[in-house]
Amino acid sequence: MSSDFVFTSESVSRGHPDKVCDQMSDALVSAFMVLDPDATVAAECAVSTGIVFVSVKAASDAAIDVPNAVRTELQQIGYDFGRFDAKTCTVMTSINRAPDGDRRRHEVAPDQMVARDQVTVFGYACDHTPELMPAPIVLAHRLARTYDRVRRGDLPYLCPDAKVQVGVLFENREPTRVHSVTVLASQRDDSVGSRRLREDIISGVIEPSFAEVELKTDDATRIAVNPEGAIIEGGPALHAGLTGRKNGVDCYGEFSRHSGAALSGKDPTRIDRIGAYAARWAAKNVVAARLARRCEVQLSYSIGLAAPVSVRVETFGTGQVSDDELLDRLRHAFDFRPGAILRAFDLRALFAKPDGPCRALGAYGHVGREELGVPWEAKDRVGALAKS
Amino acid sequence: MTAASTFSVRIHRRAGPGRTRFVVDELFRRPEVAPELEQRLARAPGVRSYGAPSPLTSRVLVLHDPGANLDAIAEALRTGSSEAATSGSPRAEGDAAADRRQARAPGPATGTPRTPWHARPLDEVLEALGGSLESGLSETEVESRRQRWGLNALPRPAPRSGLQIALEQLESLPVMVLGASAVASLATGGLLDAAMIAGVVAVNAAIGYRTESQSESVLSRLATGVQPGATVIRGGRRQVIAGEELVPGDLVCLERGAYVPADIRIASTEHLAIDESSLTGESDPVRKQTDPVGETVPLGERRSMAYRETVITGGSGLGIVVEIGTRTEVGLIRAMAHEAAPPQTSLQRQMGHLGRQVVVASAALCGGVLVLGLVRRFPALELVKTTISLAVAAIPEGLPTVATTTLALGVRDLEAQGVLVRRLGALESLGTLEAICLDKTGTLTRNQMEVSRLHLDGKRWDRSGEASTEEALGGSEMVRRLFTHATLCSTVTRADSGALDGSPTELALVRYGESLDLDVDALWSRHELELLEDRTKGRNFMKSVHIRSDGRRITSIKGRPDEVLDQCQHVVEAGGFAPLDEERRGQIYRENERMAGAALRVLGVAFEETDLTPGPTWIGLAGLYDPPRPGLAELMDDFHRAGIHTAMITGDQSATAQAIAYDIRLSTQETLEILDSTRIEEIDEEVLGSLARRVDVFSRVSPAHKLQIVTALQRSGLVVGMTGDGVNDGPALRAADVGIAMGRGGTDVARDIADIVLEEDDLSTLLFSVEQGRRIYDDIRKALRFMLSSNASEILVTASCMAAGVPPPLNAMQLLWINVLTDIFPELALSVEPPELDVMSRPPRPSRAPMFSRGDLGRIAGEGALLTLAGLVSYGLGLARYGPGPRASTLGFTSLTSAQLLHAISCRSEPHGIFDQALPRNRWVPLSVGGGLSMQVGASLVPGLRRLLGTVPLGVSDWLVCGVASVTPFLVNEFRKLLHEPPREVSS
Repeated sequence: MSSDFVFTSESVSRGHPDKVCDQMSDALVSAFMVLDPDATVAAECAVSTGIVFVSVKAASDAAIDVPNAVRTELQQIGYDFGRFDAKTCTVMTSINRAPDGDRRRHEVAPDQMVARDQVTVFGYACDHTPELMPAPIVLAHRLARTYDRVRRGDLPYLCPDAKVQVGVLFENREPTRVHSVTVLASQRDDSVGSRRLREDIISGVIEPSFAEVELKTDDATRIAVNPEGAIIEGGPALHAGLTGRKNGVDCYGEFSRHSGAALSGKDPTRIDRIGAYAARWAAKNVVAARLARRCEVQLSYSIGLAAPVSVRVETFGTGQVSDDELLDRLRHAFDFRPGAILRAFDLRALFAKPDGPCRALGAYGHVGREELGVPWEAKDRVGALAKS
Repeated sequence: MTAASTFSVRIHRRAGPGRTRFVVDELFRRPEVAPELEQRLARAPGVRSYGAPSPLTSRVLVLHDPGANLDAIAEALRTGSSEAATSGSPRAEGDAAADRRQARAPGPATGTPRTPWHARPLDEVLEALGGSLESGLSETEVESRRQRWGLNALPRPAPRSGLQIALEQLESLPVMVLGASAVASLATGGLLDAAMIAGVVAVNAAIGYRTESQSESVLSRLATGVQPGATVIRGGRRQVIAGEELVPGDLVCLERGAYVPADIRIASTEHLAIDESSLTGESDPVRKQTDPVGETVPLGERRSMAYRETVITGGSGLGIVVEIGTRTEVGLIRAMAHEAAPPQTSLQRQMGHLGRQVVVASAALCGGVLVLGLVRRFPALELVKTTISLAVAAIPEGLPTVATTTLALGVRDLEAQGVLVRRLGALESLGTLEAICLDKTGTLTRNQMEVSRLHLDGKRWDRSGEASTEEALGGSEMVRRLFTHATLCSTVTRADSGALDGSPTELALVRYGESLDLDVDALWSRHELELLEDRTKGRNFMKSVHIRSDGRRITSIKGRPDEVLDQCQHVVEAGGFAPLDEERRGQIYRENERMAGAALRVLGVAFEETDLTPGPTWIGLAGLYDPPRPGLAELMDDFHRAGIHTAMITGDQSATAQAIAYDIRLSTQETLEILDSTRIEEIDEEVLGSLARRVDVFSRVSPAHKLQIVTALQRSGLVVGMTGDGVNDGPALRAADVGIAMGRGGTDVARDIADIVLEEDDLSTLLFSVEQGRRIYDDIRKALRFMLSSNASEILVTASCMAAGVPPPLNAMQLLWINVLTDIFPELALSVEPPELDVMSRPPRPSRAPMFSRGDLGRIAGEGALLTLAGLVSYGLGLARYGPGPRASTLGFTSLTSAQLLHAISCRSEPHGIFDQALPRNRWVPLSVGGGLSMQVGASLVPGLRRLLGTVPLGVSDWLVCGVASVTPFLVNEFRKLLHEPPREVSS
């Protein structure tokens, strides 16, 4: 592969149906955890033509009003108008009350806690950006965030549903310039023409997004705004959504590998969620310790075993030490057993906070979120990695 | 009112007990006199109802108490004096007047040409009727129109008289064939045969008369309806009036969920859609419009009109009344159809149809036998007699009675259990019921609050928990303190009657305090209220300040937990007071959230007492809810065991619904499916149809949307029952296969529309109703199965002997005898079988399946063949031993009859035989079978009977043959049950 290339990553706004489902799922996990930090919850959502389907399996001594929690989240996302309205949409809920024994099972000592699912997860970090994330996805998330902000401010005619894509030109494997930006915005009606929309998006969304980052758009950057015409209303009224279908957006924008398992809608005992966090934590600390410029950590878990059956690390030739050496250091510095991860991150307490990060992770990615103060972004094992 | 004029009145004719025609000379060709006559009749003493006064004949039919003074009625008609009424009628005048108003049949004289209102432009209609689209008619105009046109009411069908019922017994096809046979017998010299046939007819008619007059009295009670109201604009004012007060020209508001009260020309519409199925049979609602339609379009397409007794299912609109009372379309239809009897149910129709089919088939078979006999050169006269008797024996004359009897008995049994049946067909639908939609408030709960959970001193007390916590809860001083202050800080008062009076929530708290032996009256009297700050818009708690008898000042606070908590700096703990630190606040706040999540209404209670507390001090949380009625969980289990899906419909938030659903075990699955929607009508019909089947709880549903749920379930192929109590439930109750109204909490309209009414609001009576519904169908099936197999055997015995060239064993008299013994009584006995014990642990039968499948018919044919064999084998043995003659014939006759009688026992149940003791007792079966058997034994012992029947005495070996021949088919059938269908386990 040539070392000069363009790489694109997409992100979506909070109102994108897939992301709506992710956020509703996490809102439900949070609602349970706030009332009962020991709860185990699996929440999955689907949304289609005005109907929200929710499936909740929970072992908890608390009960929550699922449709109400879902509607509140939809309201916050911004669906309070038009054909898909938080107040009037139909919510079809399947509630499965798992026996309380499921809940107690996790009250064993954390070190004895085994993986209850089989999964291979990946964590990645690189030195493109201060938060040690690939540049394309970071830029895409910035655009999505800005879109959501201006929608509530200067450009109220925009609807919550939007998709963005950022293409970054890499020269000699380093990001050098923004090659292209695509924004697919939705709007309330066709009173705003494509020309004004383009101007508004460029000045209101794209320019502010690149204001505080190194990589900028330039005259040669190809900017596309709704190239296929106006999208009226968008959202679940227009296309369906499903929890866990935006894993690339949740992780590294396809710049590295990521697991196929959804991250949202799962309580912190689920290894497919916290394993991905732990892998990111490890990879980030490797890059932060300047042991490599790019690092991918792979963890594989089998049902019934506590320790991962496989731990691998790949530095793509950027390592200061050999990958084998690095692996040894990782094994010493990190304990990847589920119970240990749970304890290291203090996840139950974290998820039980009413305004904690659990609800915020559903949009703009689960990794690289330094602003949330999540423990898997902490560079707290740099010393342990460096000295051994 | 017109000036009271004196009419010339005389009695024309007494049409029967309680029915008299009067002649009023002034009525002749003067329809305008009719309303005045009706008013006089309404006030006349002893008058129950009356027909429309006829200006053509100047007569009026009056139905009155049998002992009523006819002269007094005539006098009332003559002068309009109502003095006789008040003195003559002991009933409250209001009631009597209301009763009769129901019944009267006024309206303008018929015969005037009808105006095609649907084809007229709106302004023409307005011009013709003189109404206004803004302010409607003026009150004086209304009054004069009422004088002219009378009331907007339809005649109520008078109950059938006894004579009518008796005559109708003789009208059925089987009876007519029997009559013809009697005549034929007479013509061929068979006086005895004719007498016997006449006897059969008489017995049948007597039974039919008895059962039908019983059911008539049961059914006529069903029809006491309630007249829905109408919203009109009169004199610019919108008002709700009784539907019968409408006059032509009235401006009527048409609103979703209401009945159309008269024939109305649409004047404006806002998506107005009307279900006209009661009139046109078309189940899709019709969109209405204001533009006229063509003059010749059929009723179902007159979009510019709304017709009486149809139901508004969507939108709203305004309209002008164009026809009222008997001149409405439905009035005309009623008049044409002379609807005396309630419409037949599908089961009754099915039975009638089957009866005719059997008559035709038997006739064909008998014809075949006749031809066969002629070919074989049997003596002609004997042959004709035999054929006639064979036909008589084969005709299912008991059939129509069976359906009526079982249905009427069902109605009676249900009434005894507090279930009023208002439509006979509902009984059949009950038997096939596959899903029930249950209204939460009113049906599943009583709409009364109760304390369910407390949170004090960091501990949770759950009422539904174990007994020990309950005890600890009662004993704790802290709990008493909580309820003391909840009682002080309330607006509950003790009424003079001794009952507590107040809001549901406060009542629940005070009552719970009382249950902890708190003397609330003493509490109130010892604490003089100094100040009470009620809740305001921005403040969701209540505060009361009291001076206790010892002079201390005490403050009680009760209200929304977070706001009460904000007032407090300390908290009551075991052994004293502790400061409310962040951790304790957080814990209380979290517990509040949990209780709210569990659908509880949560209140925080705090207090302050001088020299005791360091300031406002938190006591604890109390969670209240509207609990489900007791026994519902077991009842749901019963419904589920019977294969009936249960769904709850509620306007509440889903948390409340969810909690109740778990409490009553609404879902059979591990998962609970909740459909939460305020706009069900916006869901795609097909999507809703496929979703609805799985849904356990429909939450946040407005009453108007219950209709959508019912039709969605029906679209998915289910037979649906629906409970309701409000006016808005009307369309859904009507659309449901079984509309179920609550008797106590329900509104009149709901009761009026519903198919059955649970008088005690007790859902377990619904389970009983389903059982009855299933029993009725089963019993009819049992009776039919018996009838088909036994009648077939008589024909087959005769036909096969003819075919073989052997003289048939049964002579004409014997055939008639068999008919009496086996056709009538065992069938009736089977039709009153109690429900089989496992009838409610079987899934509902498919509603559209025919009563007998091919397999069933095959089995029935097999049973018929076995009975035939019993008769033929013993006849054959007799022939071999004694040669042709009365002795062989008696053998065959006795065996066949006995085998048929025993077969009735087999027909008691399809899966269950005498070998498993799974059948409840039915004394009528042993009675009819035993009675029949002893009559049959008597037939060959009693000389008189011997002469009549042409039998001879039998020897011991002959009796043995008969015994074996008749018991064998019975045993074979019983063993076959053991082999083919092992009896399922019967749950007690």
